[in-house]
Amino acid sequence: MSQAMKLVDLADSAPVDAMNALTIRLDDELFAVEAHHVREILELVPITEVPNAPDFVGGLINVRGRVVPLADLRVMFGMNRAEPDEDTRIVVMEVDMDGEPAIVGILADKVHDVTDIEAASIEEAPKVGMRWRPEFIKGIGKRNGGFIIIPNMERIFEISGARTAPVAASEERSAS
Amino acid sequence: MVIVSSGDGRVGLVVDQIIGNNQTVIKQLSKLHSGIKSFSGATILGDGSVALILDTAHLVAAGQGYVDHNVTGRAA
Repeated sequence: MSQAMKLVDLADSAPVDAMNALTIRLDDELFAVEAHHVREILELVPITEVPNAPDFVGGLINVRGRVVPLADLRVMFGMNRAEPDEDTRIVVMEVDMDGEPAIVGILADKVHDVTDIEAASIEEAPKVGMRWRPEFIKGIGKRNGGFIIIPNMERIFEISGARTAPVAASEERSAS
Repeated sequence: MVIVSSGDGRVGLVVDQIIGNNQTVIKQLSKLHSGIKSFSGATILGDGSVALILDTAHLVAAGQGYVDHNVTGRAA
């Protein structure tokens, strides 16, 4: 019963039930993304840089004949951006962008496994004392004594979309 | 140099290298890149790489704006 109550409480802070998640490493932190949003995992493919694009989505890749933006979550979390190595992967996933589903690729320093994170072990991100912006984090899960960060993808991609707007505005200004 | 016609004039674009000539299908850029007006889209080339498609009309207009602002502006 108390378990059930806890699940209801957690529903407000986003994650519910056990979360079936793909765990990835970014810099030296473990992250979890919802497994059912993941389409495929690719080895590093050639990346076309987009001039004037924000660092967070600086590239485009070809995923089965489709042009897909490549995002680097490490930018949003102010992390080290190590050069790609043999562990680097691209996680192709579906995210909600302003209410519409969109396909994006996400750079991962390493892809670990698919696991269930118990809802009971997921806590809300603390508002203070964190290196990262709390609005980008849905929750923090625990596994094997370590923490797993659950990023708030909708929020991250919503903000990055808005971020390209000033670029457009300044371009328009220089054009007029 | 690549010469493009824009409106009723022609403009030369300085390029480092001409790689080839392709018939391609233009794919729209995602919302994440829709704020970048210099590109009208992207396409996938024969070797599988992604190429950006320049919006020449926008480039020429931006170049004209730059000239108006920096050259004409300074003279006045």
